[in-house]
Amino acid sequence: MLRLENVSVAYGARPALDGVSLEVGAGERLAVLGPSGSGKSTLLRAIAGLEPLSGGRIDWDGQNLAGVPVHLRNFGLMFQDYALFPHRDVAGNVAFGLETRAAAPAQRRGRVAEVLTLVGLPGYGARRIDQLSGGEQQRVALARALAPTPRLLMLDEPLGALDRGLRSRLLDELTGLFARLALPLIYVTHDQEEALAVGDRVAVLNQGRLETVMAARDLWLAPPNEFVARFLGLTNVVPMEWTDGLLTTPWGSLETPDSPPGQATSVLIRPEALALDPIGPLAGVVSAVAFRGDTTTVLVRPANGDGPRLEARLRSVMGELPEVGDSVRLNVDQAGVLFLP
Amino acid sequence: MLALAALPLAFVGLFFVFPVAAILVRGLAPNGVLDLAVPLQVLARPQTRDIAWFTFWQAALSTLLTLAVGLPGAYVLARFNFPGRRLLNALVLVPFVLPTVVVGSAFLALIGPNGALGVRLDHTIWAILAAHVFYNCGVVLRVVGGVWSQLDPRTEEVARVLGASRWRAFRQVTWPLLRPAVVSAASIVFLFCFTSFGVILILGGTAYATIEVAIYRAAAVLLDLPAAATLALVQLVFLAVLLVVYSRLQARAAVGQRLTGARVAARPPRGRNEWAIVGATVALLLIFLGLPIAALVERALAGSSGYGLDNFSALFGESARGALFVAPVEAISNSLFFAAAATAICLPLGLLAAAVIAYRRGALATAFDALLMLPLGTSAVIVGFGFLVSLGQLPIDLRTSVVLIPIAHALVALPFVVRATVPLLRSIDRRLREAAAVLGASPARTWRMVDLPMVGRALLVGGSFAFAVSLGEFGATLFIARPSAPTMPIAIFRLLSQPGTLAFGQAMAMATVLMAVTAIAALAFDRLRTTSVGGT
Amino acid sequence: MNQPNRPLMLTIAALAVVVVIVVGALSGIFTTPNPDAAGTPSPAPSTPPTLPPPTQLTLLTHDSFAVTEPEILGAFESQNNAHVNVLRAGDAGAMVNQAILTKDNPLADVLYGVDNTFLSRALDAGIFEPYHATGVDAVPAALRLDARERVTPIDYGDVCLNYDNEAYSDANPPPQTLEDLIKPEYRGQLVVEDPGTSSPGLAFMLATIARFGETGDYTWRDYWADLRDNGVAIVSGWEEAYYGSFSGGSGEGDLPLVVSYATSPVAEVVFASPQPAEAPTGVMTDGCFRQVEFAGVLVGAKQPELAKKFVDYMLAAGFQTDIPFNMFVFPAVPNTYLEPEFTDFAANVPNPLTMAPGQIGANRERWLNEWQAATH
Repeated sequence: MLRLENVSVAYGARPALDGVSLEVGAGERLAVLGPSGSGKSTLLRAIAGLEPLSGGRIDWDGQNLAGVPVHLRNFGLMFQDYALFPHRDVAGNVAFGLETRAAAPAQRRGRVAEVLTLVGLPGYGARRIDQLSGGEQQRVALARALAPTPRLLMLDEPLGALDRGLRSRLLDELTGLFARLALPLIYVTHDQEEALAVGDRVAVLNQGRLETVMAARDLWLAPPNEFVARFLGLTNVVPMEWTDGLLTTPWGSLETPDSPPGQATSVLIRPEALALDPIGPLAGVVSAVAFRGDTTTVLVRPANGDGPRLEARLRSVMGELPEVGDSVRLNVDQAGVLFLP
Repeated sequence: MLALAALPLAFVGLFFVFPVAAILVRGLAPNGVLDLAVPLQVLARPQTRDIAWFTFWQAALSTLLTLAVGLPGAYVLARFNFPGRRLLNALVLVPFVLPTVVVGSAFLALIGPNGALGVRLDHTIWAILAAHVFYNCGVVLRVVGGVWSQLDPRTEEVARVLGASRWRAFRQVTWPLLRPAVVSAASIVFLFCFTSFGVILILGGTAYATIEVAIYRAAAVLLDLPAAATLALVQLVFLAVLLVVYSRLQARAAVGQRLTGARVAARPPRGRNEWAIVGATVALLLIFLGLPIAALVERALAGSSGYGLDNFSALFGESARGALFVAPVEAISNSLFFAAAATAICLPLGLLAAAVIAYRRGALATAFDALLMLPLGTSAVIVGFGFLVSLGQLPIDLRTSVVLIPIAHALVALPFVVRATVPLLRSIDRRLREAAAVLGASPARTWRMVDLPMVGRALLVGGSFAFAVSLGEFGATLFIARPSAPTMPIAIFRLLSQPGTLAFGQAMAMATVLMAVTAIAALAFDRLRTTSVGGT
Repeated sequence: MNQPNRPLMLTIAALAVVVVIVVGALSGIFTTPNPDAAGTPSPAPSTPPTLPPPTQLTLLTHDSFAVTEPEILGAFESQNNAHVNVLRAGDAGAMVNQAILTKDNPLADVLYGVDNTFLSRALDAGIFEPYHATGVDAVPAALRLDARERVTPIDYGDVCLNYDNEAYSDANPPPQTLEDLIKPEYRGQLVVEDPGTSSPGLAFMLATIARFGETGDYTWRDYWADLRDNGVAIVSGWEEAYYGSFSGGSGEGDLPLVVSYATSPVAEVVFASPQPAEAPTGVMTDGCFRQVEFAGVLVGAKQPELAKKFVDYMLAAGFQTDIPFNMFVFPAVPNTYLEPEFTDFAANVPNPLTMAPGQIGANRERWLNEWQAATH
């Protein structure tokens, strides 16, 4: 079990991580989500021991890792651009972590074959690195990290270098693999879809600080603040104007009987809570329509000219879809209205 | 592809193979008929064996020592950013250009009869070895450092996370990627030490003789061409063996190196251990490189009335006595002109040659690579005399032309440019070019945005060496009939040809000026490399 | 596997063509075509039609050649509508060897700087045209070493032992003769240069051969063995010996006796700031070896007549007076004006040792080997 207590890492004057505390338990999968520059990679490097801490401590099973050098920590780390060894073939790369342990060559070969099969590259051992496609390289990097049976696996944007189609396919494969491995896992990404798919819990980092750590579903259903909401792709956030049961938005007024909590300063309308309704309380003009398969995203701007766009995610099969320029009215499911501090 | 090799081949063929063959023929077949009497005699002499053996082992030992001092330095300069790093990186090129007579004086000031270091090492093998390290460290530091600074440190970090200690990570991951550069640098250092002349004579004294010294005696003093030709052949045989070994070593290393294509930002040392490493390495460099330079500068500043700039003002002022007077401004500008010309000749030829060697693997390319290294390892006397007996037959008589000087310099500098460029050409990732093309860049634009920065960087590393080789008057230019265009080293020789504290002081002052010019040129090349090219 | 990039290769090739053009142009500008090979005359530079273009005279000399510029060469150039192109070819030996190697296609018109130790080699190779120079009759017969006048003596100097004045005193005098050098009181005080790589070193060795001879009870080889036993230090060249090992004057070493020139004390005075009233070093006038320097017209010269005029010019008063302070040797023409520093500080050597050039040429290599054996 990994525990970070108030961990800070600074490059000169600039703090890359500022007072981060979190825990990853046995068999748990933690996704770390954040924009670039938020300190995600630094977090992994600090846990691996590649970055010295300027404050705080990192424990594993109660033991302080401060004095433990990188090569004795037995954590697995997979870099975003894989960093494969160009002078070794696939088997040579995968076997590297096994060579320090006192394993017989036959044992090593067996393990290499086993791990390659696990990641879906059976028989690739003799291939050269520069002959591999992007997806294959990623799997080799993963196999290399897994081969020495690490006690913690860390992945830094593993799907970042791949094209979209490959990414979603691999995401499914990876989640399946992780379920089978039962290793504590830290998965770093800037893509919220990946984070929510992979992590049991999701930690959100912003400029080196931890915004929140919550179970994935809870995070999605009830983002704790505007930053997290926006980062999760929920863009319908406007300053709150509520008086006497009526919520005023740029697109119309909404009857909202429940009073918002005291610290609420903005309100979120979930895109999937909107539906086309000729007598709905919200109105506007369609400014963009994006067909995405089973859902269609429609952007609606206020009728009276410019203002924030309201994003509605409509199910594609439900009746006629609007076109750009149409005036529409929308209804909101009250469960999709969230007040944010 | 092989057609590209035509021009560098023609250059080396015309200005090296042709002259050397001509002088060898003159020596071994003086009357048109092969006469092996004297050559066999020379080969049979026990001195010849002793000389050959000494030449070899002192060069090998010098190379090892230079690597021992230079590799840690290359690591520190490549990976860490600390105050004075840029200056140090430029300064390491300075010893390269100093005439041996001046370096001899500096070493004497340290380890001679009244030496500052208190220990008497002149005329020992230690003086020779130390001087070789002094001269050649810069080659290791810059060639190896240049490649090291572009190796992706994350490959090493991955290895460490996978369970390899720092040492094992270096040995198994970094070293295989670094080895080609180290072998390159080591081969150049070996060749320089193998043909070392002034250092042996001046610092070693009469007890030590190398093949080069013997060739000089035979050719330049005794005009015994058969003996000179025989010894030159012995040198060439050694050279051939070395180049075969070199090719074997390099053939295995033709791995697509994971170069980041950008200079990895060197970071400041963190923690006491890292500062200790940096400090110790810098101290080592300062001892081997800095002390003799400091001794020289001290000599330049020492006047009859304490320290001051008397020697400099005498040098640059109106000198009533014309004998030793070489207008220093003229000497500086001549040196710079020749250096620019030599670099200009060398870079395109080097680029062509590097392209052939990088892209066309195989025996022919390796042989070509080896051929280019030959001028480095061949006696300068032989090449110089070779010019005289061969170039007179061409339509344009270059034997007494100013142009011959940068040409001779370029011959020696060419291997440097090739050495620096080949690994970088090999590493230009095809995918970067493809990515650029997909993003809408035309082939010309792709070349400008992707290839040119990489190539430009390599050219600047090689170019700085070419510049230094020319400033230091390497090659055969001291053994030809030079028209009047004195350079800084020539000015120094002239000043030292007569006694007198002013003469000596001005010579040291001129040597200091030479060092300053070199340092500035190196800084300029480095600046160009990091700012305008690729913006990294 | 990396593929070459076509635009890259094309640009490199274009650059290479540019280089060829540039080098070719520079060669064309800076050199004259070889009429033997090409058969075309050099293009005449454009000058006013009234004055023909200056003729180029090429002088091959050694690195120690120095004249007051631009007066000395300028005077000759304007008197003869010529341009003197000076080629420096290393030390005297290297220069002579280069001239011999290029005998069939000489590099220059006139050669200056062959001295008596290399004279026979040059004469045997037949590189000079005989010429009786104007003014050579004034030169003492002792300097006119070639009866066939293939070369003309221009200046002479003496290689002598120099000593550090501060190391000696009335109670402890410096050595006076060659024989003194092997005495115990001068043990470990002398540094000499290797005759195989140094001209003064060679001269000193020849002096000992001339003095002690090759046969008899005590030969020059015995002398050198005694020198070795008396702790003589041997270094490779003059700079090393004087600046590195000698303790006198500007020397930075610790040995008070060195083989140098009779004119070295002059340089010590002149090249010191401030100029001292007394020279810091002295000269042992016994055991000096005379070196005479010659000039000659090269066979096959492109401008033989102009070359002869230049030889005459070198014997003329203007050139002769310029010699001492530029090259630190004595003018061959007697009664040439010498500046006071020269007369005050240069040693006057009444009886220098000499040796016939032919003898030097014939035996040099053997003597060098014997020297090597005697001293190691």
